[in-house]
Amino acid sequence: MASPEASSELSSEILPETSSLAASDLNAWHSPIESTGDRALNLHTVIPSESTSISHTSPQFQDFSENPVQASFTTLPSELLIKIFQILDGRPEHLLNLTRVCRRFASILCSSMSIIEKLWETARIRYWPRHFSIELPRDCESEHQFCRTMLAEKCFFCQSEENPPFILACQVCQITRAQVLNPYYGIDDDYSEN
Amino acid sequence: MSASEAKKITLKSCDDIEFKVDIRVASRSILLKNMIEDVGETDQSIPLPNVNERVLKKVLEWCEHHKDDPQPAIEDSDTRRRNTEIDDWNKKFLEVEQDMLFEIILAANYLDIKQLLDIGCKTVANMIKGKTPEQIRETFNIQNDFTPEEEEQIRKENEWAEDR
Repeated sequence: MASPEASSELSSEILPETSSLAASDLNAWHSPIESTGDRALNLHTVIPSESTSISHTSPQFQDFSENPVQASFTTLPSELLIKIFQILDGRPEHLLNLTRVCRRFASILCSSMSIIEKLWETARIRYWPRHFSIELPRDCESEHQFCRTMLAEKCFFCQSEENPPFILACQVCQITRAQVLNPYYGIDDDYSEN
Repeated sequence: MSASEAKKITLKSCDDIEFKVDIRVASRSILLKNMIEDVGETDQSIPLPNVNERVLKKVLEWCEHHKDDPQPAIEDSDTRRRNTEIDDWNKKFLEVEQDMLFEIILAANYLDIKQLLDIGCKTVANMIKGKTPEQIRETFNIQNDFTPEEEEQIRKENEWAEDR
């Protein structure tokens, strides 16, 4: 086996330049709720076609002795990738960032496998405050679609960029507006006192 | 023959290097534990076609250090997963080249060593936390294989994560 130093040097050499994101292109998309519906409709265009057929290759059946592929994050079998993704299920933005890394991660994280749906659901329920741990809206096809379409970079109400991700609004506005809509909000479900 | 000598087995890596180890150490691996229970003590070496000498040596070092730990209960797997803290010894143990880290994870999965697999996955997860997609690619030498159209579409959907 080649020495790790030599191999990592080689892989960094062959890695193409990927940091060509144009910041100007992003400005057009800064409005957090702009074309949310369109985004939802276009969702499937970014999911590689193999998304529904993730191979669950178990390492037991791979012959590493004859095929000495250097171990790396992307060569891990899907079951191990999912295991790693599950550790990150406390923050939806970690999962969203992973969907943007490469096609393989996107195809796993955008698949309709129940384990992946559970992953996004757990992220949603664990991250957002109790009053936003709502049921999935009826027009949302999947948990990951909910996270992908409802997370915004700015608060819709106060334009704050503090402490993302939001469901379109920062936590302060969520609470303020929740209180406007429901004066009993935050009284721990005990309405009898009022 | 003393009792301690009798409790040794020989493991053979895929590159034909033999390791004579205490059964207690080897039994950290559920695969080996079950194999030993099924076959009984044997003088023959157990071939491990998926693990090379370098990785097996490292894995056995972990097993040796944790040979007296209790086996993890199945029901606390969720709690184990949630807790991303890694103790100092394990942290130090996994301060290795990235290819070695992933080889250890693969070997732990193959040999069914749950605790080692857990800390390996947690180490990778901790390397992902708080990083942008571009930083994740840089950290793990991952090639951006999205087409420009796909990338544009993803950027439209996830623009909040950019420029943070």
